[in-house]
Amino acid sequence: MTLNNESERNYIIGTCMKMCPEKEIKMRERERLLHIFEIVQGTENHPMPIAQIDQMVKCFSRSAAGKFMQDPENLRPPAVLLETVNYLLDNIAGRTDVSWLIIYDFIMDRLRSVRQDMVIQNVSRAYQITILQPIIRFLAYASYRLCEENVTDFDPHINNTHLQECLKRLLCMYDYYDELNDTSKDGSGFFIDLLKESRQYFESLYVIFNLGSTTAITRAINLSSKWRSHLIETSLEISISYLNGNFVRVCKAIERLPTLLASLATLHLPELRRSSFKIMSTAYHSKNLRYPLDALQHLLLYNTQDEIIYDCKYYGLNVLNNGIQFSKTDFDQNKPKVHSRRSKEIDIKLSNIDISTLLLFGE
Amino acid sequence: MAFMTLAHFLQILDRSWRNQDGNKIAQFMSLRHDHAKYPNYQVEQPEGLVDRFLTSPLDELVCLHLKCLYSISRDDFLMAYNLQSQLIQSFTKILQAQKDENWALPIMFTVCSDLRLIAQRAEKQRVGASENPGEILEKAAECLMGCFRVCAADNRSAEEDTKRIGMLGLVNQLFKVYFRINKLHLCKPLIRAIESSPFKESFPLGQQVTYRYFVGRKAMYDSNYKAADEYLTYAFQNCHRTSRKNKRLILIYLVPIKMLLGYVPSRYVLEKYDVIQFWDLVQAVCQGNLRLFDELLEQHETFFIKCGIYLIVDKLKIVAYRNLFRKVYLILNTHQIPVESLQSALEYLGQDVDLDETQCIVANLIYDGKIKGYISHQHRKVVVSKQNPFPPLTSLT
Repeated sequence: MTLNNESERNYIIGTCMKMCPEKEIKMRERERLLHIFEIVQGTENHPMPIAQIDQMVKCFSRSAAGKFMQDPENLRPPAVLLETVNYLLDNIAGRTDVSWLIIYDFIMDRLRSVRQDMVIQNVSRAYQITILQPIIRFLAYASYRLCEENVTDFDPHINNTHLQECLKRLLCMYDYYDELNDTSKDGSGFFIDLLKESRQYFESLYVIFNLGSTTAITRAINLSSKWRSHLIETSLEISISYLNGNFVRVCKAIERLPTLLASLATLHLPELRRSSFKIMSTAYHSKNLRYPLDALQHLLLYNTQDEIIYDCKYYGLNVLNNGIQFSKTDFDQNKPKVHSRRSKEIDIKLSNIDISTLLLFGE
Repeated sequence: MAFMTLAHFLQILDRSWRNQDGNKIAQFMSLRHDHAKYPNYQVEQPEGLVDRFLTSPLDELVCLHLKCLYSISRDDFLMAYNLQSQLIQSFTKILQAQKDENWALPIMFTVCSDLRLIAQRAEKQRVGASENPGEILEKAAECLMGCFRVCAADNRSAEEDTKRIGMLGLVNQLFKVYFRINKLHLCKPLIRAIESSPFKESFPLGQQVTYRYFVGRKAMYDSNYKAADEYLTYAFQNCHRTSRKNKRLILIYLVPIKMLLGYVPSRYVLEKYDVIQFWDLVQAVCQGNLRLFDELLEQHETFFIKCGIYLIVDKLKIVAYRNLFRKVYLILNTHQIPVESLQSALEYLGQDVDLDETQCIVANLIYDGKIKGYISHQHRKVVVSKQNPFPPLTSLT
């Protein structure tokens, strides 16, 4: 009988009203496990740095056998979790005094513990949605901003796994509101209005993040018509075109996306270009003909022609007189896709936006 | 079924159990059998009466069954679901204890498909109570997996007594759940279990048809059209001719797949099985009439989405491109087709494409072997082969 309403409230409610539990502050200060963002300025180089208590944020710690995760004093109630997310994205994400990799590692870890507290307490769906949305924007932003980093510094796979997990959780929460059928009791009608804006955005983000995935496409086309916004249509068009090999349409439509979604789509370009080269190697196969570099640069959203030349050589294709000599025998099928590159155009757009505002309030 | 007192009903159950008459018990334990409708079988606390007639282990099953009927009569499907799943858990233990005998399999099939049906009703009733949609069905699937494990692990019995022959029926039930909750990846281990089973060919034909239907649909989602064609064709050909509803269901998937592979369904078959909606689509694809194609896709969007064939129907557009380009080629009667001509044909049919995208579409067709030739970007020409530039689709692998 686990399915009735009563079972829902068998969860603990946290009593920790700070971003970090008292015990952890003491322990981490004692063990010198403070992050530079959590130290009283000027004491960084002391043998015993002092904790800046209002800047301490609870660390993620893996649940393990024998470890008691359910102490209310160590759990933050939803309002404090939201406050923590706001603090991290507002005060830390935009800092420019340290490398963004350090910022990423710190925020990533602390957000993970926010998610953990959220799950252990099974906080209300409205809170989960409000907490998850900025987290997802952060992970999406990070996956683009750090895509050129070395794998030892930033592992895109781990980041993507987190992003996918958060997204799926968020979509589950959305589905629940679908089932409510707008029968607005307890003021949830107001919340549903708020959802209208954000939901179509995150549903699109799911489609773009999982470009060419039939599961994601199927989900989006099954959405009830009230969520099928312009943005969803564009995202679907991109993903279906990607599936059907229409890379020209994909690249044209990417430019119509909002910046953060466009940056996520950019991460699929190496794969898209690879398959474009594969198709073109057969379709433009010729000893005498060349495909002009400038045309291809524009078609496949390359920053510079040097990047195309690099990619062509990598896949075994010849470049002569500013033109590519496509040949089905030269193209090397076995080469994995090239490393991701950031897009100059998107970088410019992002540099004109305040990161904290983007992550907290969306675009 | 004629009216029968509960006592009489219990006596028959008792006798059938002793006689190992699985079919009879299956009927009397079914939520869909006639007796389910009579109020005298819908008992809230049947223990007293049941204990007078039945002994362990049957008494527990029958008590749960009668309670379940009671809950259904009260429209409490969540409770009914819980009772039926307890029933299956007890039954699984009984089944496991029966060494070297498989007469109870018909009971298993009945209670298991009942559980699935009840879970579906409970899903609808549940709204708001639990966290994720599909959760009850997923729990039901776990329950069925319990039975499946017992069957699959029964490898000591002789061939005529083995419970492994019950695997396919359960797999089909699980497929139905997984397709409904959209968790197709869970099908994979089940398919492997069946494909490697020594009884692969000896399962009842009806079950094989159902199995091939679902595996075919899964292959379709995985874009494995050749395999999808094989499975669905088998299902269609072997499905009993009186099961028109099922034959129609199979055709809904088989028709677009066959079309993608270059076959054209006959109007007669489409009419016979009431899927005439496809006829216009067939016309649009054959003529390369993309305007009509777009209109039909929009007009029948809900139907295509509901059946889960939207994406594959959308893929038929590629076949339509091929047919249109072939027409342009025949009209111009040249082996060097200007890309501009192809683009104007597309534009004329309402497609919003420029020269680059037209070339991209052609490039894909050449890559797939649907057009033989190459593109010259400088001259903006598609140079097609002198021999057989548009090979029949059916000749492609």
